[in-house]
Amino acid sequence: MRVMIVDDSRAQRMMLRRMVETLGFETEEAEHGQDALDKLQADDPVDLMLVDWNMPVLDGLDMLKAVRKQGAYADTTIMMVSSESDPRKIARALMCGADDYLVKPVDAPMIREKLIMLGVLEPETV
Amino acid sequence: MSDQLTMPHADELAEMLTTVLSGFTFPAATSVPDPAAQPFGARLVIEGDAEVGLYLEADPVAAPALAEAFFATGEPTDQDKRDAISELANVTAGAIKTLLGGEGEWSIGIPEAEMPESFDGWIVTQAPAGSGRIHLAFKPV
Repeated sequence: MRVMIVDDSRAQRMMLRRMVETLGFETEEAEHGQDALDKLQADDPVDLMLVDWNMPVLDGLDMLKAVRKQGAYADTTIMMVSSESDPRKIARALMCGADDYLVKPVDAPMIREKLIMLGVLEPETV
Repeated sequence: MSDQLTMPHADELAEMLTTVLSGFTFPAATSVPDPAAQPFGARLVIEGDAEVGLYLEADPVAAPALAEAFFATGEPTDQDKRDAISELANVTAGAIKTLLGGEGEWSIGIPEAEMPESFDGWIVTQAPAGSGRIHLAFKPV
């Protein structure tokens, strides 16, 4: 299983990477939305994307819209992980194709639980 | 969320910061900090119905502890400390937005490693982070 972590914060990427690697994921990182789109085109497919909202160049919501426009990534689970906690923004992200939304700060049990709920992880394997 | 613009008080900000910090696991301090060690800070703006400012600063004890919480490295670099306080400012801004009310949406700017020239008119508070402290300054409308 491969996950792409999309966040302009090196600190947050590192923290998320540690969390998902303990769950058995291989990780790839992108520094902003455009970087993520470029890497999606160039690299092996990913099963899961963890995406921040506020990023330079291309933000998480616009990246999400761009990914969902492309049928090739219909099976990719996308979870927003953002400090944006406004219910209107969360609703907008979900309407634009995010599978779920986590408000920072997040911890490993929170990520694990969400991934089980989304069917990305089997409960008995972690 | 209230339609009326509201500005948080110092005790509300301290409580919010404490709540945010409770989401991190800080390592126990293992040594006395270098007397020459410096604090690390990050500043950002929150824009919506108005523009408010936020500045977070980790003292010389909290800065490496915060960096270790993010990077899980025993000897964080200065860049690790800058990146860690920047991300904490981002997360804290997200929490503080919920206190602001207003009719529109609030957007969080990109954190910068820059201290405001003056704290005149800012609300200043702090919260414990491991064995150190995080100082929070909020510039209301």
